[in-house]
Amino acid sequence: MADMLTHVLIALTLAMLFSIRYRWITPRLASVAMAGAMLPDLNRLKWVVSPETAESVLGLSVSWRPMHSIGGVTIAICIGALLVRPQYRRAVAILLTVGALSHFALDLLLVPPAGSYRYLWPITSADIVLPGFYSSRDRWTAPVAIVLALGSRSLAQRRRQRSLETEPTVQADD
Amino acid sequence: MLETPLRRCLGIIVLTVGLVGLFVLGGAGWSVDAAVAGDSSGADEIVVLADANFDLGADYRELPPTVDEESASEQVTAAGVGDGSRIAAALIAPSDRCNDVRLGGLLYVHAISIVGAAVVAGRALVGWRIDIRGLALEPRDRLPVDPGHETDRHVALATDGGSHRGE
Repeated sequence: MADMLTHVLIALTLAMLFSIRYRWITPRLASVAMAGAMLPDLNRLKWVVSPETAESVLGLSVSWRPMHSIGGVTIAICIGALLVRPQYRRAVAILLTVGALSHFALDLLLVPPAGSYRYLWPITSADIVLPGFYSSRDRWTAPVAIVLALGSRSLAQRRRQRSLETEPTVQADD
Repeated sequence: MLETPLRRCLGIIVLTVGLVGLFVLGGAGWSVDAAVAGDSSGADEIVVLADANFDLGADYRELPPTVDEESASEQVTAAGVGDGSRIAAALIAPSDRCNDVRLGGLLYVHAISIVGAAVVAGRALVGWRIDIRGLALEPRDRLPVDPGHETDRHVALATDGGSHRGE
């Protein structure tokens, strides 16, 4: 999979671009999209709690792989939505979904077999494999993501400023 | 529904149990897949296991000795006890001598991933706070709540269909 910095910055880029159209996406809510981009990689918790340890505790076979599928991510998004006040629930759920889907999209673009996961589990166990064009260890992805994030943030701020100038009764959030 | 802290906590507990159930289900279905390292095909797992070759050294042993290996064996004979690094290099198969590149790449991925996680954690700490009484997260609102201001609270009302719900 791509590095975490690339994932979160691409999610931020998307959130900033969406904020041009949907003004309810504030910079603080854009952080939620970044958190959503981290959800599928919670399968890396296997390095903290190994499946063998979990199996010895539960007495059942355990795998962290479902975290990197829509099944695990959907439940994680529901948990995330319940962690916030009800008035933010829908916004948080939407942005967590945007972040998680951006993560999957980026992983699909990895050169196989790196990006080959059972994304649609538990609906189907079929692997989704696409011809990718970058490797998880390529070093150009993070700088590109940084440029995209800074560019989208600047664009969103300029659009917001321009809309504020045409609507003098509404003031800037930050 | 699920507005009071107690109900939200119960909902979180139920969902967490469901998530653990998914891990168990995945463990039951994916344990064979985990045993076949690097297998990403959509084929039936039992068939793949039957055809898998677990003798990882077979291909290497069957290869005729390469020029590198021959020179490596000569180096071992000639080096004696002198140059340990040359002996070690000669004993390692040519295709396995790129460990430095692989380790460097792995370290980079881990380091840059930690940076990414730190960025998210920093933005969360700066932009969000915990409401102890309501047991919920909410964005920090530095601006006064005013009808003319488009703050996060007004944003929340807008995304919630305009209805105001208290806890």
